[in-house]
Amino acid sequence: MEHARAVSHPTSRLDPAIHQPARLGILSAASETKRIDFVSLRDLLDLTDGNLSRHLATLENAGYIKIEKTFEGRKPRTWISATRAGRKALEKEIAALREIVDAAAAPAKRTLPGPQAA
Amino acid sequence: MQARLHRTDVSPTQAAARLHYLNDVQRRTRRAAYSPAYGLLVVGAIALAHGAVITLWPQAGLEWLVWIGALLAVRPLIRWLRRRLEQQGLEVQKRVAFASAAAAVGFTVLAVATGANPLVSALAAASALMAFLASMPVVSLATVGVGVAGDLAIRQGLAAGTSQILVGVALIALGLWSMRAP
Repeated sequence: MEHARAVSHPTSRLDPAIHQPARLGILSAASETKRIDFVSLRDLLDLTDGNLSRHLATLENAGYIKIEKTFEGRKPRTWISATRAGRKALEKEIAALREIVDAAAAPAKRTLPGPQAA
Repeated sequence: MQARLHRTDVSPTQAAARLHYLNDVQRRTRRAAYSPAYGLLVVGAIALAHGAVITLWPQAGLEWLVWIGALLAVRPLIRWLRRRLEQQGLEVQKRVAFASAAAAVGFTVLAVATGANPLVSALAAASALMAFLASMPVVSLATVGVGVAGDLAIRQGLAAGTSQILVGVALIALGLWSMRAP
């Protein structure tokens, strides 16, 4: 019974691959665009190169983003795009986070006097 | 209430903070990627040019010159904007352009059916939707206001050309303002 309750709780639906705020931000920015380059993403999320690289590797291993390396002249450029699985995972994560917030807000609302009581 | 924490250990406060962070990232990405300011400048220029032509040469029926000019200018403008965004490290999804174009067509039909000014309605609807999708609700509302005011002015007897000039100037002003908006 306790186990069943734990499984149905929204926190159990949070994805460990993206629940980290920086990875959530990366996936969110990538989902809003067709693709975004490494430098823009780094500046947008205020991350260091190394930190961003590590998070990108985690998301790529999870199959949530695609990384493409191109060259503009001699200058290398790294483009990041969200995969379909990544977009879906982000949607589920947002839904689970909303549920957590709503679940905490619901008992507080219930204690407020209703229109009849007023 | 003590929140039940599981393997990811996210409390309601943390969840709210993450949603807030997500909204902020989405808002900044959309603003950078969709560039509604450029859309407003282009749409304002079309309204202004159209209004000026029908005011200066009311009998000549030269509006088609504006539309040919707009058609010729739109492709290189879009290419320039796309290249500029690519240089900034962003490649945009086409859904905003398609949605705005659909809004323009829809509102043109609606304007013809209700007796409103089709050009003002179409341009205002397209740019308002573009600004809304770019997470700029204030600019979007202001654009709707400009469209409604422009149409009401025509119904009150103001010449269509003059109204279009005023709408064009207002949209250009909104575009310039939204470039600097926080």
